[in-house]
Amino acid sequence: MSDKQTVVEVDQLSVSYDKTSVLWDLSFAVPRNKIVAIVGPNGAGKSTLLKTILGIIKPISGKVSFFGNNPLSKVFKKIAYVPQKDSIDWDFPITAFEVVLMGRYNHLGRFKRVRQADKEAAMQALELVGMKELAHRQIAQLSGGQQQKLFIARALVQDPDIFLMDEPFTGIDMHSEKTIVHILQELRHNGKTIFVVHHDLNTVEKYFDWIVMLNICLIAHGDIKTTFTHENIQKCFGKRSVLFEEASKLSKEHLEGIIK
Amino acid sequence: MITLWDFFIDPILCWPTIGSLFMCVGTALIGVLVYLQKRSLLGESLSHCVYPGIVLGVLAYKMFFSKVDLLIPVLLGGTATASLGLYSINFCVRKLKMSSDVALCFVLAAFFGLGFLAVSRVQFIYPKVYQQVQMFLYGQAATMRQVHALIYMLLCLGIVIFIILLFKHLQMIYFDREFAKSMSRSSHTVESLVFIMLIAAIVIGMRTVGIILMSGMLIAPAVSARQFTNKLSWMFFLAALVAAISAFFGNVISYHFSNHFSASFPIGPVIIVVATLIAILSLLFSPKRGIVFRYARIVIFKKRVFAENVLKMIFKYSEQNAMPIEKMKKMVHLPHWIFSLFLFHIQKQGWIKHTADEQIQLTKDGKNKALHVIRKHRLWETYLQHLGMQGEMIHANAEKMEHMITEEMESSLEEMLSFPKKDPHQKPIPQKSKYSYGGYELE
Repeated sequence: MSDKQTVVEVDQLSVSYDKTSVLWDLSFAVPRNKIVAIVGPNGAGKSTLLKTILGIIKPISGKVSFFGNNPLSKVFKKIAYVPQKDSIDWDFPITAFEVVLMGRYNHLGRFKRVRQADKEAAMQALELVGMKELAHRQIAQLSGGQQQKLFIARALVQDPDIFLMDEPFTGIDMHSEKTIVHILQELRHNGKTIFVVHHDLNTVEKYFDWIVMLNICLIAHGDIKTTFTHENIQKCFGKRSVLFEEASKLSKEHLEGIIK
Repeated sequence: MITLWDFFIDPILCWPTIGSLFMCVGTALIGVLVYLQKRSLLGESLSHCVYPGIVLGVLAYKMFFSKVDLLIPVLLGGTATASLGLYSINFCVRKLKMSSDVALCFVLAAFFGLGFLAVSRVQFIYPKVYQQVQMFLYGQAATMRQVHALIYMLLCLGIVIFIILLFKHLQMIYFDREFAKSMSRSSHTVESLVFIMLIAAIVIGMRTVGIILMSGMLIAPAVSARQFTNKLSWMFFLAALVAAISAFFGNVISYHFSNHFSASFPIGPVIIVVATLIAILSLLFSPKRGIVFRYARIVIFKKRVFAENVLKMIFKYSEQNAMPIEKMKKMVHLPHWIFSLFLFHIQKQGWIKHTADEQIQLTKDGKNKALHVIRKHRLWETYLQHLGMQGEMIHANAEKMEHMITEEMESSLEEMLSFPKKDPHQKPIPQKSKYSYGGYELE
């Protein structure tokens, strides 16, 4: 695999929250044009991995580079993030249209006003996910599937090369799931790379062509056909890491002098 | 007789009016940001943290700087202790792992207590200082002069410009913090700027409404504005409007009441009372979120449910879709005259008609409506069975859901269950009619 084809390269990456290990020495590279599943049990560090790639969380060691050897600061405009649904304040005074419009803010300067072109781009993205008529609804008035598609529309107007999506298939109906899968395939067709934190092991083989299996450490990564094996799933979802988590907690308690 | 306009031109009345107007608008705009963070208590805590700073400021004024305006050392002192308060709150939450509520209350009580302690000491040494400190505790807008109004105008202008320039960024940060961080490297700076603005607004505002009521000015306009809009830009505008109205009428009411009842009605508290009244009225009467309209919608919904159930009852009663009125009156648990009124109402709506022999018969539309409700009921039962549920619960649940299922849900239910013809009790599910548009039929 040549460097040009590598979209994201993670090199000896370790992350910790409050002195507890969350990610341990990950190294992997993902080639261009893939739909990548990030799979692992709860607390395996899947969301943390996305946020570290995005620079929201700072790693304690290691680095992430993009398109060869570029650091995040050079390419962050080329990356779009679709957050987990629970992390959103659905009562916020904002309409669907305004949420999508936000995706265009990185095309504008900080103090620039929104242009007609931005508004039309946002409307087109809403149409693409089949939500044009809902543009002026407050976001709490959308169904679960619509809410998820809304954030995908926002990512689309950012016009990125890399998409990072945190559980876009959680809590949505079959129809929305189909729409989203279709959009992902279109994006891949256009040369984009999409990372998806995914929970439903039944659909992994159907939707994805590359996989990163995590459980604090990297369990396996690579092409879906050779990597998503019974053995690797056992390794990834087995309860082997429970003791490790307990030990991390103990170490944190000792270092901070907390008694429970 | 003094007209409303006089409050803007009268040399004594105009500075308190104009000053509190700017101050309230500025504070309300910052209040919207605090409200969106769901940290309204923060304003309450920080405004109490200002108290010891004021005492220090007044003391410093007495001892060293009696040449300058009293407001300046007080503002500096207040800013210092409020910043210290903010730092302490963050320290308690992050390092001491206190819950946010506990930290806010703890810091509030500690700082306010310290202030009181200091005041009770100086009360005997400098009795005049005590009076001046008390002025900031409850506010004293009436003695505002031109220079104060100017300070408020500048502050308010600063806040307005800040919000207009950074509107996109603020919206992004408070809606979706992590996304904002992924989009821009400077989100943290903007957040810090908001805190600086918050402290500035509190410190400067206490001259008008006082420390104790300050948080009311932060929250009440934001709460009122939220009831009327789902757009952030409108929320800022409405909050500013509510604040301006409260400030103006606060001044007017305070003036007239003080004259009329020959008792003191200080401007600051009256402003807060007006703002709170507006907030209460908004909570009650706003069209979308207000309690009154919500109850009205509940009543309308219940009436519709009742109507649909009556139509169903008539449909099931006989082949001709007709039912004697006397029989119906026995079935429903309603006073007869209310029920007659209700029948008259749904007859007006075109669902039923009276026949000559004291029977109620469904119209064609009424029959379609009954079939539609039955269809949704049976589809839902089929779906629940599909989920693996059994027993009487299925029927009870469908009895409720039949009135709520939307067109969208109905078609995805059908698709998911691959267009079922029979429900779990082997009763036929009414299908969309092939012959008449919008009609239903039992096969």
